[in-house]
Amino acid sequence: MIDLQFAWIETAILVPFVAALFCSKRFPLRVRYWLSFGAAGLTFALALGAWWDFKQLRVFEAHDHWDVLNFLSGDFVFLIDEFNAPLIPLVCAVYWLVILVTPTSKRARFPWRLTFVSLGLTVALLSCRSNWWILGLLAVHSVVPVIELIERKQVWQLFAAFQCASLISMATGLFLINGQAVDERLNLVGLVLLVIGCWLRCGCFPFHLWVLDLTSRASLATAILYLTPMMGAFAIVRLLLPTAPDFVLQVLGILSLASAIYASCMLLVQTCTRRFFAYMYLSNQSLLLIGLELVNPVGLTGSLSLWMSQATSLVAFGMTIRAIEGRVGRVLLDRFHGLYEQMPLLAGFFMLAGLASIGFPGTSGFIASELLIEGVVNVYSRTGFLVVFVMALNGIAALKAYCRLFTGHEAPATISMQPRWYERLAIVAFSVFILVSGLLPGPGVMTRYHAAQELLNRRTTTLTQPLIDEENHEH
Amino acid sequence: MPYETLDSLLVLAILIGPIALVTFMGITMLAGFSVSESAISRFTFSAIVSGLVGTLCSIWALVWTQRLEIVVELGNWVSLPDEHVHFHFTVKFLLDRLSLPFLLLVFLLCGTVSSFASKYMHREPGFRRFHLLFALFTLGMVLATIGGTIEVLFFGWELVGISSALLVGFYHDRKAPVNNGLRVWTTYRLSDAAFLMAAIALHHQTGAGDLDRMAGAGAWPYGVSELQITQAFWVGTLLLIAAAGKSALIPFSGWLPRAMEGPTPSSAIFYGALSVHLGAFLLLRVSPIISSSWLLTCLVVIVGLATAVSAAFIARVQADVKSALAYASLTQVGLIVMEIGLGLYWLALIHIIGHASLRTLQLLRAPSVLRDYFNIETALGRRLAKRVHTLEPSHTRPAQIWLYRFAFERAYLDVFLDRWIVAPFVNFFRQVQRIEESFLQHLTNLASQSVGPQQNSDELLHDESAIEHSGQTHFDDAGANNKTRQFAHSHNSTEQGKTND
Repeated sequence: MIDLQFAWIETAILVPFVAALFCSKRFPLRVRYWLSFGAAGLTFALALGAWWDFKQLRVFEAHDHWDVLNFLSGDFVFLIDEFNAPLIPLVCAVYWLVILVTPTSKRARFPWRLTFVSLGLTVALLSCRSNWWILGLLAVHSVVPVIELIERKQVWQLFAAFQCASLISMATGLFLINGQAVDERLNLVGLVLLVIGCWLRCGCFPFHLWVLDLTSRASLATAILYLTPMMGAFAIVRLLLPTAPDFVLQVLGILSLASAIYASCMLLVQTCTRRFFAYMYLSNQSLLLIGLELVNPVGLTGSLSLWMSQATSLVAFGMTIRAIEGRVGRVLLDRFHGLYEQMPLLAGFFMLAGLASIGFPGTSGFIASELLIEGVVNVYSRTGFLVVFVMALNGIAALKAYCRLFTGHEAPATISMQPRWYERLAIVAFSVFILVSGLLPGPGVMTRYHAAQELLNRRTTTLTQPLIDEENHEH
Repeated sequence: MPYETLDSLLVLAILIGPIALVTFMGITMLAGFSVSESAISRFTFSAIVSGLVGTLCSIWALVWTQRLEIVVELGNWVSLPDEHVHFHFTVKFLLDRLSLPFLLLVFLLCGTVSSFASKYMHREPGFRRFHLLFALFTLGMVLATIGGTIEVLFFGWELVGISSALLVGFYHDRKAPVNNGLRVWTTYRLSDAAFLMAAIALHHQTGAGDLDRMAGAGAWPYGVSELQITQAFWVGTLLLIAAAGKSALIPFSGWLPRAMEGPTPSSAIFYGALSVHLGAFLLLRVSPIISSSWLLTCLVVIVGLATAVSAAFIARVQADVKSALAYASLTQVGLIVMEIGLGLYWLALIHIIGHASLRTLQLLRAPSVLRDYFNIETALGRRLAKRVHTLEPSHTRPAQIWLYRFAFERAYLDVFLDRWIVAPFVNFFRQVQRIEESFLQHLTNLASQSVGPQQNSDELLHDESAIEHSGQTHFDDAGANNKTRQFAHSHNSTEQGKTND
């Protein structure tokens, strides 16, 4: 395997952990904030560097220049390929901007260390392709919100129980699949367990209660950062997609469709902004999963493109809700709050995020949605049109939430509620990303198309290899 | 191709103004630059004039070069370069005998209304927001009109939809406009879903969404569809649903009078003149598909006739001028759709142009007409004679009473949708939410039993449960409760913050 010119990935993993060590409460808050901002920015720059270096090499995958863990495990642990190359910078950018927009009033309570640990683990997880390493990192990654819930004196056991169930299921499944030569039935049981484990980690219906619990109890920043990279979907791509037979993926696709319909219907009756965010996440992730499980290039390209778009729009949603909560506390969607006059820019941003999440023309989600629908219709024919219905319901819910938050009789405020400069910066960055990738979708879609092709090739190789070996053995 | 450069320049001339306007308005709002009202008005007017000039040049070029249509293909916006994968998104524009007259109408009416709005909206708090939405609407109309592929048409179609819905709810501080805007958006989303399905079905059946290919060899209106009869029926039906949503045809008529809650200029341009005719324009554009299936043709005629008849009755019992005009518009739109079903395409196009112009004038005149009546009556010193042409039941004929009630209840369409579709849906999922909530609470209790009561308490969940169980949804239009709540939030934000983040 070809190596990169520099240890981009390992450095990008190392920087957040080092930053976590230095984010001590001994330092003044201002120093901690700027240190965090710088460290997250550096991580983002390194992730971008890895992507740039990888593009220069013109190969399907590459690993770090000095892979330290190679000596320990005997294999390349961290590598970059067509699939994860743009995902890593995107996730780093999300962390960076979430840190940037942390309001002054909340900086004292913001879990700086945990956030950096989470960033390091997320980058490591996204760079990883070995099944057991992924499982281990998923386990450690789940601990971060648990620690925060304990620190906040909230009920953490429910979240932990779901995560443990997911990890145990996945581990048992992998264990059984790896011993497939022994018994075919055990192999099938292992596959089912792996599917259940991934499904639990995604938080799709009916295993979605932990998502609601997390968004209600944890800080919104933690919920955003834990949910929006969509690690459950990542586990499906890495663990399930290469080996699962077609029928398993088709069943998963139908389940995802049911989950998307359920979540989008529930979105319409939500009265709490955090629950709204949770269901928006569930609906969007379920849509994305449908595409992942199609096993055709168009659907998979749509799904991978949607991943980028949905991650951005969900973070934008979450950031707006967080900014509102930072100013007026938690708000309910059963009445009109009239916040437009006080925060028109945030209102516009919320609207833009909503439009991007439903695949509105001119935003980042448009082409991705078109590709996804096209791919779904190719496989499921008439039932595939339900995806369009789900998107329509999401669109209604997004505008309803906008109306409830920003319209209504204006509530006078004694202080200015306009976005601060750092919030403006984040709003502009996200808006530019959503619009530019929506108006010039070509390059983004092409990288996702190459990734889809690569994933499908790998799947074909994995599934046909035993047959080839068998033929060779007979000869 | 000798005219290739000229054609591209013509399309550029048409599009450059609306695109520049949207960019200018968007960037200045995002960056927070302050721009004066007069600058916004001048920019808007200039952009529309530039588009109008481009349209006139295109008409001249079409006549001068003796062609029936100009097709400009700018290439693929997105294309997957694989022999087994058929996905491409072509950016293509079509200037023909359908799009150019409609485009001329779009620019003329948008110019008129922009000039009117610069005075009418003077010193309104949302002057800038109005003009941003107006710019989006104009761009959407232009794209939908000259779109040469179904995707480009859809792009414009959606821009028209979002700008319309937001302009209906323009007056943010009142309950009715916002709710009505949401209702318009809901109707649009559901009918637009049908449009998207039609686009994808068309892609599957013809391998592309090109409107000129779909129409076969001939230019509009003499094209013959390449689709088989069954395919044409299903694709055409989906497009008819999309058109019904946009043009407020039956069963989607309920949103049109509600849309009149917006500012008068937007009501005039959207619901009297252009937006309401966009559905009819779509049916004209896909007329080769409609004419290839007799069943679909019958369906179009029935929908048009039913809309026209019901709207004619309903218009006669309206108490306010805007609603009366809305239903009067709908009557004409129903007739236009019927003409399309009957194959009278030229008549339908002329009808659209004439009706849109007349209705814009009427709607723009509506706000001042009452004042004029008042002035005339003051000058005369007596009331003007009242002319009554309504359906008010003067006698006790059962049929007339039924008809009056039918018209008064607006053909029971809203009641039907609210009672039989929306209410069961919402009630069912609220019930599901309650079950989910109690199950989550139960799990939480189970999970935290060993920890003790301190960690088990979650004020937020209790608050939410209380709201859910009360089964009430409040709308504090007066804002008194809201205000108190906001103040409480403002004062307690620090305390709240401790538990929130």
